Amino acid sequence: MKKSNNPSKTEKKEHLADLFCLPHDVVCGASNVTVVGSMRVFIENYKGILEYNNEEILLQGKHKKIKILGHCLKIRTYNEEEMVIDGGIEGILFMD
Amino acid sequence: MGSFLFYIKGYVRIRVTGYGVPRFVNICSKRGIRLWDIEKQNDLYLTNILISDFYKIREIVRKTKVKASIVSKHGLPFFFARMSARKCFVAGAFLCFFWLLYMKNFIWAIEINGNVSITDNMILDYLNQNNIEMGTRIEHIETEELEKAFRRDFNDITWISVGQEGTVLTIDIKERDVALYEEKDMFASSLYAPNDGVVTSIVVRRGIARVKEGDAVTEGQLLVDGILPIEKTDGTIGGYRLVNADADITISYSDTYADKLSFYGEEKAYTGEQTEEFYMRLGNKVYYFHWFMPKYANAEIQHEYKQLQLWEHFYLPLWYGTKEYKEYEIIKVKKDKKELESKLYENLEIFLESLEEKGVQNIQKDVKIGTSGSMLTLSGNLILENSNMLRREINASIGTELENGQYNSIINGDER
Repeated sequence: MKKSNNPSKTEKKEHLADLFCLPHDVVCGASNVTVVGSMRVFIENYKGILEYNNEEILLQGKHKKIKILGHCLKIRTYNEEEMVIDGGIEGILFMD
Repeated sequence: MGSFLFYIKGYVRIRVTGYGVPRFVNICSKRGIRLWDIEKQNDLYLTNILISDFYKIREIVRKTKVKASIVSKHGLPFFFARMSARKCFVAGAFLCFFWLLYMKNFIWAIEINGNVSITDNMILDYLNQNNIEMGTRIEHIETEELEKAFRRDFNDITWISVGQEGTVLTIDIKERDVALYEEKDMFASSLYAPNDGVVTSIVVRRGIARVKEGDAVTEGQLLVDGILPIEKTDGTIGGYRLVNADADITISYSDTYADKLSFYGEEKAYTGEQTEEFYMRLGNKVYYFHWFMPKYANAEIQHEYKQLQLWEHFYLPLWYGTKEYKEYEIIKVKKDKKELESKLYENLEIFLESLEEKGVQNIQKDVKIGTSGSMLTLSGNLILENSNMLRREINASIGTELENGQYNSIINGDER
């Protein structure tokens, strides 16, 4: 899932990544979100937490904000590289 | 693995309150301060943080205008701090640990598997003679030497494996097949009648039949000869060949059977009184634990015990269990005739089963129930068939029965 504020730049970068077979998250700096079932989410490439409560967690990605919706949400691990969120995941939104 | 490292290093669970909690978390992350298990409860946030990092957040707390306080402490540093106040407990735990370390150097259980004719007691006695028993130091046990000794002193053992795992000495045995052993260990042999009777069938595979179907035989009579004469082309006997005679023979015979049971007997009548006591055996010393022990004139004692086992193959010299005492009185009773009858028939069946195990089969039974005084009797005739013949070895003395000079030409052994 790659998100960007500038579509034209993103398109160029994506084209470049496709051309040289490079991972999109590295080239475009997009956030990498991996969902395991409906109870765990791994997030990489993010800047920080904007809001946090048991029902939603709002994160600042490089280009977009990521909103994790659910219930009983807990931050299992939080460091500069990655974040692991546990709980009943109900949805993931990408916002400008 | 991570959580184990956190436990080793020690961590605290802190409560963070205020408006700037997300900012606090982000700054911690940027400065490499690890936070984990973050959760929100009403207006406060809870998170785990390493002890070393806890002292670094003072400035961040001031900057983000949140309040942080410790909720609980976890990990080894705190455990040791708590234990320093319980010196006796720690000393006991260490003593126990070293006692277990010491105890694992000895054998505390002996497991014997696969033995049939050689009893457990025979093996335990033999081990005892070799200075191996419960409590022997493991380093004193040479398993290979012990295997050799077993094979040397027990002829019936064809395979043995002595192994030691934990505090258990395991002995796995395979015994020799008795019938095979008899034949294999004999140089040459003939078959003889085990009892008087009539030959009902005879099929000879090896040897010379000396009787035929329908012949009456007496106990010890030669049935199949293991001495085979070798005829020359001119019909004269050139020598003898000795073999292990082999044949399927059945001898039918009749036998009398008599059994009796008294109408009057003694029986246990339980009074309903019973008690139980707990006991513990440490080495050879037994300790009983009970509040009050009533005295019973007659009591049935049921024993149940277990050896203390910490994990598989690790036993300790401590047994524990219960002794249950059930009081009874002996009363004289007159038994029911039908009950006695069924018991007599049951005895007969057991008797016939024991014969069957010896190769004797019952063909016909003609038994009657009768009364003799205060006894109920079961008597009559049984027609039996024995298919288990006596095997006797032909030894060198047989040479005297053979003609001089011809004995030398005997071909040694079995043709197989």
